Amino acid sequence: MMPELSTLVNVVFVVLFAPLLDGIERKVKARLQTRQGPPVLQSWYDLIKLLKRPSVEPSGSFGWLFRLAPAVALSSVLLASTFVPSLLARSMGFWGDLIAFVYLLALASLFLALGGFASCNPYAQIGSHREISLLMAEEFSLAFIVAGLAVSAGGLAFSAMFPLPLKASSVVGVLAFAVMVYVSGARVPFDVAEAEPEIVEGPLIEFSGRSLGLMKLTAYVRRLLLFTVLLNFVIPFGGVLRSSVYVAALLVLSAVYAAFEAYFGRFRTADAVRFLKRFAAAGFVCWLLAVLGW
Amino acid sequence: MGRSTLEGRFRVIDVSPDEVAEVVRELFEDGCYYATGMGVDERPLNGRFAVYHAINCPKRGVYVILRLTAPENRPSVPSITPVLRGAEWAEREAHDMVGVTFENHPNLERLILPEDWPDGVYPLRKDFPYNRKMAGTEGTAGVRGERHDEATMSVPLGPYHPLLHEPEYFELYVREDRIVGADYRGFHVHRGMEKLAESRMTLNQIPFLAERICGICGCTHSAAYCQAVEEAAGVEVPERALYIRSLMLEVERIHSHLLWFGVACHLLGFDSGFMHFWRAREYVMDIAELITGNRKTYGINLVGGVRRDLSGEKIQKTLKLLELAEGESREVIDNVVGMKELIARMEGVGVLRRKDAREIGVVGPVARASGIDTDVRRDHPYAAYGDLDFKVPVYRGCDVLSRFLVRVDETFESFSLVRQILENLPDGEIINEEYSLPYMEFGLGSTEAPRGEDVHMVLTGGENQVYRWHPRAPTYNNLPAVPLMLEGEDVADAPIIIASIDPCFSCTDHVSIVDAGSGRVLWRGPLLEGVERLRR
Amino acid sequence: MGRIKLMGLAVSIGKVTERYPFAPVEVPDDYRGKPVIDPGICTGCGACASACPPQAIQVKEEGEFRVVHLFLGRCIFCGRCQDVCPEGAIRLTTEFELATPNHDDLHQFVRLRMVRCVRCGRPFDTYRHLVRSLREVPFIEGERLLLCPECRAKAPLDWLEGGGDGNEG
Repeated sequence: MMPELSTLVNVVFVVLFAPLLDGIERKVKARLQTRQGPPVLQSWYDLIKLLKRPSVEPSGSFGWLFRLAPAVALSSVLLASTFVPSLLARSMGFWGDLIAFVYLLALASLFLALGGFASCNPYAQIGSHREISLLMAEEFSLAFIVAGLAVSAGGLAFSAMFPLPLKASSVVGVLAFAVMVYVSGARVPFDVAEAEPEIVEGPLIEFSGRSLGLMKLTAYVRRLLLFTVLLNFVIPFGGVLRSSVYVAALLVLSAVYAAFEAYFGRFRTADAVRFLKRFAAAGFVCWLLAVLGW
Repeated sequence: MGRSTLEGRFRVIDVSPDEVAEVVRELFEDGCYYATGMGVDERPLNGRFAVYHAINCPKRGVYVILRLTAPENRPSVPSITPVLRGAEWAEREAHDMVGVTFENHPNLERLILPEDWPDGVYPLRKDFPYNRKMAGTEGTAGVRGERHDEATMSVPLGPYHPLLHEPEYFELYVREDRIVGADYRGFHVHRGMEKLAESRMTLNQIPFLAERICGICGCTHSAAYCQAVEEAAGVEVPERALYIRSLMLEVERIHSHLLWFGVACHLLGFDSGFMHFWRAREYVMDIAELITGNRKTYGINLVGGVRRDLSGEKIQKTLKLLELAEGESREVIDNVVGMKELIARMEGVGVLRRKDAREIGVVGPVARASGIDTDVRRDHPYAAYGDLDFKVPVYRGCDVLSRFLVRVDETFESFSLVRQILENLPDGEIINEEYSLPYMEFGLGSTEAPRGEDVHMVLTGGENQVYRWHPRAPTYNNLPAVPLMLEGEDVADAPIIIASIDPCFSCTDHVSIVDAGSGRVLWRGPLLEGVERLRR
Repeated sequence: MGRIKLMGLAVSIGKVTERYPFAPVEVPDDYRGKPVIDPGICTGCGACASACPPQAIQVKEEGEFRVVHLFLGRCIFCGRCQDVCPEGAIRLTTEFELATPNHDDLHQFVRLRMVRCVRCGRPFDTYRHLVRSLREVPFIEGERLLLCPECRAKAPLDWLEGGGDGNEG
């Protein structure tokens, strides 16, 4: 298959499957909470409903930034999905894939926060503050992990890193990355930026209709891409087998993460940041091991 | 001191305006606290206005009712707020609703009536028809408090917020992620219940209105009302009825506490805990449905007794459900307590020192978590509590965790109480309907609601009516403590702190008539100073 | 450890939320649901109306008829009507699904024909209530019951031999 076509297939798969994955997580959580839970397609139903509705702009907001934020956020995750091999192994590739990936995702978070600031709502301000503090703390750990993995794999291109060589440093790195995937996915206890009972979805509070739909889709795609990169680190083969193993692993991973999410209470922002700073030690270990050649 | 009437549960004392401050100070120093107060328009009777201050003396097992009167042409009595700050809201309420002025009150601003209510119109006076509609005037409020600088952000919490399941308004002043100050404005949900009851309802209709003061602990309100009337009219209540009342009150406490644990988990981001607690609670709801015919509004109390008897078969079913509920609750609680991040978010948060707690007169689990050993069930035994065996848990942590633990202990005491009641249920009648209602007799009924002391004062009206009915829900006493608890805390902790008093806003607000059209001007202006002063 | 136990508990219990409204919910037999008046028994005495806390039941007179009007929109399902009804004509059922797009579904009217006063001709009581009262008072006073309350008050006490005033009834 041509790389362009497989890229297209990948992007379409990501967009279609991400909300479905969220629906599955909701079902898993419901089971762990002794509930019936919504249908698996519920997240899709919600999205379709939202995308049909117009968005309302709060008076006193920075209109252009507020309107721009969802579009930029979604575009950045979609751009990331063009070069991350998901359903099909072949995809666009270039030097420095992982760095680009990390920064495109950070860009999406940044625009979520900016959109929140632009709405001028006090809850959104608090939420955006929290989002940024968390982002900073994440970057700190992630920098070590990415560096460690890169040294271990001998390059930053996905072609070099997928899959990773079996070394102590890559095992530690993948495990640490798995934790970062959990954190970046804004899951409890790290969902401080959107804590519903405290600050009412934080940066998202003023978004509605289409723009809220785009923001939600961004969040779903983001989670899926993080899973995908994590899986790519370990799935060793290509072809049809790869695709089915990938999808199955995706479902398992998502169920495991949802189970964790269902059984944790929320951190305070300071606690979350403190945790992440300590966690940077794991990244450091990974990097150290890699440099030592283990 | 003047005339005094001696009753079992309370003592009404006519005090002279010169003495009242001294009497209150002595009572406070003796360990009493301010329970509630009401203004009464007694003009048809004696041409005077009266103020009744109810002061709870738990050590002596008596409520001291200080009655002050003032002539029609100069309705003014000395304020006791300077001596006991717990009286602040009650005096402002009497000022709003009956038009009695309190001399030397530090802040006699409107509390209940909206800012656009016309001056000089007092809805609880007897010459104000219950169905009169008022046109709003120009609001006087709208000025913003200026005490906060640029770096401080004001975060509104309410009137609509997922934390507050009822419309109330907190304004948090936030610097970075820390609360530097908080204001409260409530009374948005006035239902004019007192006026309604006094004007167009009969004696045995009011229990059903009282029950609707609260959607969670309604039974305790109808019980308190019935007790107040029974005290006033000297009604003998059959013993079996008293036991059934206690039974429903304890069932209500269990469901209310389990509900609270669930909500607390949800606020801490642990939704699975919410589901587990509510699953256990469902058995308790089934018990209520089985005994009273409904899950929540039990409708069981009438003056003189209760409406539904318990068959042996129902007792057996109840015991089975109770065992399930207790087992499940125990299992869930034990495991939740083992979750460190939840406990860490409650420990040392939302501190209310014992001294402040005493002065404000907080009640129930909030008081017991601040080291105050008080429980109406033990101090002023009512219903069947005199015959029953239970412990009153007291913690000294003064924080949210202590409030949580008090409720945990209470829940399991209640399970034991329900079992004791079912095992010792006496035989006999369930209601005494042979009584006559005196005219202008005072009665006070109090219960220990899940949220704390619940006080109802009644002046009978003869002819199957009440002349004056003043219910006071526990949250009324607990709310003024919330701004104190919030100060200096993390914004993330505001929800659990506010929830830690298990607030029931509409219950607090039941007392008056408000034109809902003026929602926008309600929460700004002089009130800001009011709450601030309270904090000092 | 706590959280793992709770998770295990949830899995072992399964689903506790119900499929309502797609599956029915059970309520006990003496559940306090929708009140229904049996129009074949009701005498229109109005005891329910005076006991009803929210005034969901009101009794009005429309010409020849006395109308007992139950409006479920105001009902609080306390069941006081059932307690006080001397005939057992009003009962609370176990039905609780009362939502409807049709406002008329929330009203029940019981129309009862009234008797005219033998003296002034004004309708004053329902046939059924009168028959009921006749059964309960001594026959000798029965005729007095055919007068409306005003005429009864005006009628000289010696209208009947023995001058019973009905108090012993």
